[in-house]
Amino acid sequence: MARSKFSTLTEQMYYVLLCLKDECCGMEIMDKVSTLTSGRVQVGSGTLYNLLEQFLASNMIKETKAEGRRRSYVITEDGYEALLKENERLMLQIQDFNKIFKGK
Amino acid sequence: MKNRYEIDFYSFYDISGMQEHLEKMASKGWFLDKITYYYWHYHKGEPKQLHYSISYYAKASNFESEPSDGQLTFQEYCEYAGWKLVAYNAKLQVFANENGNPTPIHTELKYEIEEIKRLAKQFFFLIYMLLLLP
Repeated sequence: MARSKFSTLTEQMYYVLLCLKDECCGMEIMDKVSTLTSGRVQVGSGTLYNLLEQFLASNMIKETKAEGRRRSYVITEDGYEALLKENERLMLQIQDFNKIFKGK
Repeated sequence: MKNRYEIDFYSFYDISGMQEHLEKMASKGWFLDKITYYYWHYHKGEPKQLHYSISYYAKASNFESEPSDGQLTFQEYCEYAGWKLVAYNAKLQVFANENGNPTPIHTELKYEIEEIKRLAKQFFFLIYMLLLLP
């Protein structure tokens, strides 16, 4: 059930998952997303908190360590699959664009 | 005069109204530092251009004196992003940011709305229960 709400990933969801290929804590994710996208995508602190909570509940990420309140996470197989599925969706979108504008 | 009290006339969902008001107050040198169920308290300082952000943490209990670990984590993430907690009362949290163009606390509206919906459900449930009392 929980997976269905992630059938399409928003840009913010996508980048948070992407940055969790390697283990990192919440604050590092904010910096990583910003660096990776040269500041184009910024994840708000509240949004990040909500996303991590929901990804955890849907087993798309897992907690790897907890030092006090500083918790680290990493992507799971389910999370990786969600990224692949989103990639496919984006590719189809580009193909459709090409069909219309480039006649391919 | 170094202190000022205000009665909170804002609806809990009028987030932008509260934020604008707090920003106007800060530009006049009045800084919010305490929220209770009855009033908001401000102290006097040098006028400043601050950004305010109201954020609810619907899971917080009205009866706990200390915030939960989850709420503290939320606040730590915000502080890391430049949003300092200036006042809170259970579920209502007020953050201020001195940066000129800060990343908002909520960059996906969906989650902000879900939090307010959760809060509204709790609020109206309480009202209905009170109406059912003989």
